[in-house]
Amino acid sequence: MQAEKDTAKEIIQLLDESAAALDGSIVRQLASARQQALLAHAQHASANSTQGHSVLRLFGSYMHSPRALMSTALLASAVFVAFLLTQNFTSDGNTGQSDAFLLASELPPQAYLDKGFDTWLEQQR
Amino acid sequence: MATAQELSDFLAGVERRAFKQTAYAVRDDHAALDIVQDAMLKLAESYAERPVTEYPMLFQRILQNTMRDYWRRQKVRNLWTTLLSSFGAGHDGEEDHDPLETLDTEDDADEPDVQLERSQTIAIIEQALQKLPARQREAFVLRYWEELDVAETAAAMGCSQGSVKTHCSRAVHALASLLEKQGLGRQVLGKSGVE
Repeated sequence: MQAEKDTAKEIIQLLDESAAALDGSIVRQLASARQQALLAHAQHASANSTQGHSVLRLFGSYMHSPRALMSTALLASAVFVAFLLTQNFTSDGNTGQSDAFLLASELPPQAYLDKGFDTWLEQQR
Repeated sequence: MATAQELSDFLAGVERRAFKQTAYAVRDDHAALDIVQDAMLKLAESYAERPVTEYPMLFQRILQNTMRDYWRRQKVRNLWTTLLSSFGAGHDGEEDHDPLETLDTEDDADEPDVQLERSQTIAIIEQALQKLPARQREAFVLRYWEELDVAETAAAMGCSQGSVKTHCSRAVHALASLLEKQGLGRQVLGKSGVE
């Protein structure tokens, strides 16, 4: 067993020498292959980080340009105005509903505006 | 996840041995370079998130699989070549490359005496390695050259630990026997640069 290991060790040392004395063109091609692998690794790493923080990264880089900042501000204003208009239309809808209720009720709308009506109503109670 | 520097260091440390190991298996330097490059890319693309400690075994496994893919392609190509060549004038033996045929002709006569002797010894060893059965060579290289332990070698080869031990033992004995036939016993090996 020990003799087997010793033989293997001696052979391996010679093989190491052989690998160390590789032809220059092969060494260069291996180095080139390594660089390509590193490039692929870098692309993979950047793809991973983009997946994780894409929104923040895009936002951060976007904010570096003043022009982009201006367009973002305009966009935000447009969104805000749209929100206000939506709210306005919604409240108009509510007013319409209350108007419809008043018109459909048994008492005429003027009855609610007449101050004498209130006093009359209290007297009736 | 391994950093780019860790990956670079790992590949730089392993690339020459990977190339030699592949060249022993496929007996073609250009194909060996392609296979090693493929294996490097696969490691970087598919296992970038793994810790660097797992890289030796992963890389060896990828390398072995890439070699097998190469052999499969070669097998199909050889099949077609055989079929097509049967229609034309036959060039017998063109595809049959026996490394032993070139064993005695690959001497580097330009080297100084000492280096010549050493390079001849290395050439004989490399030829002997090429002559080994694929699984034995694979086990020998992974276990002794790549210094993977038995379990890691078994995982890389996709076999049991017992098989790894058997392959390794047979490989060493076969190599020792082949080297003995070439007049390279352990004493000669020791003189050829091994302390």
